[in-house]
Amino acid sequence: MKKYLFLSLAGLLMAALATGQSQYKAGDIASDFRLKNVKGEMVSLSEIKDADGFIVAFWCNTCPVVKKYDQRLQDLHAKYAPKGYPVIAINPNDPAVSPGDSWEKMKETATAKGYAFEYLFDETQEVARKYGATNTPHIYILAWKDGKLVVEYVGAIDNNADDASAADRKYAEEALNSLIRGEEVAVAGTRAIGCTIKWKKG
Amino acid sequence: MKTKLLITLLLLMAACQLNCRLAYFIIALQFFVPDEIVNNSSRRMFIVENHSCSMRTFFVIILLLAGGISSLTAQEITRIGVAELDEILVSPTDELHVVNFWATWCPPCVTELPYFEKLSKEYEGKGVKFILISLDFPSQIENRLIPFLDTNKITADVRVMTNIDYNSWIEKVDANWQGNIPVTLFFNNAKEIRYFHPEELEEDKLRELIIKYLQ
Repeated sequence: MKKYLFLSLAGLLMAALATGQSQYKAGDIASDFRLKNVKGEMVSLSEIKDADGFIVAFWCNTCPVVKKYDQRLQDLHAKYAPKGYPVIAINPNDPAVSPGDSWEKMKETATAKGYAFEYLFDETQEVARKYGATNTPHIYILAWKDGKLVVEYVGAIDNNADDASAADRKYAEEALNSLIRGEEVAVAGTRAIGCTIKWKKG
Repeated sequence: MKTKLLITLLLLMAACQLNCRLAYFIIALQFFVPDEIVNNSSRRMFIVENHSCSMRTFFVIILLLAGGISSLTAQEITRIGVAELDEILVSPTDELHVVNFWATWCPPCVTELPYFEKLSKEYEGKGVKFILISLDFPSQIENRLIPFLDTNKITADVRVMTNIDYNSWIEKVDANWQGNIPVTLFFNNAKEIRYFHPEELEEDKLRELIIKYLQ
């Protein structure tokens, strides 16, 4: 019996080590970053004027779940950028593992889809690691409070990846509406199926 | 055109009893066949004013038969919801359960799937129960998942999760799982063994873990 207990403990420990990073959760202070957008310019959150916060979306060109949510992310930007919360999409995938996620392909995607939001390349994967993103899509809603970026929501855009019209919980919108009204975010974290971030090998 | 709609409806009703994919095929077929031929053949089939079958009608019947036979060999799939997932997770039997979460749209999942298929055969009757839970979108079960299983000759126990309100059940599988796939859960509730593997597996690693937790 002791042996099995030890085994399962070892298993848990291994799992904890393997997931390694701790993930930002509501209430944490998020760090800013400096990443290249599809025009080749460097973008930092603190340099974006007139924003009360951000919808940071770990994103990519290739994941079918991202594709399902593509229009919904564009709609979020169209609706909430004027209200102070623009979308900042970040592709953390290693192009050596996922060739469709290179910076050149990001440019193509942004042009083809007419992205009105910033689409940034997390080439070193440092931002994804720091935020604790595990998959694409993975949404972090941040709000400026006393000069700090406070994490207000982490998770999915809504509760139906397959069909936007069938989603009866729009988590991201609910969180943003609460923030804009100056209220507490009711659901501050959700989990959803997505594509594993393609980490650099070795 | 009216006749075309009528024959579509009739065939859909009849063929759905056998296999929905077959019905779609027949419907698709009709739209590739010129109107006058369908009209002629449907008159012959349904009004029976002429006993001689046209070549086209004969062709359709052959296809119906062929489709019926292929539907017998086609892979069937068990659809599960949260209640059935719960049932799997609390299974009290003294077996090593290897539960893999995957989808056809996930390349690393597709890469590791043959290892599960291979080891499920290797460990048949040896106290290991493999369950491969597909997270393919419900709208792609018939047209993508089932053909994928057929093409790749997957005979392992594949079930498809139809509850896509992921947040309502992900945490039940493991507290650390953020929803990335593939992941694999190893457990034997009778022996209080539980290990959650949060990423893809190589064949050797999968075998190693099975041997480790099978003790």
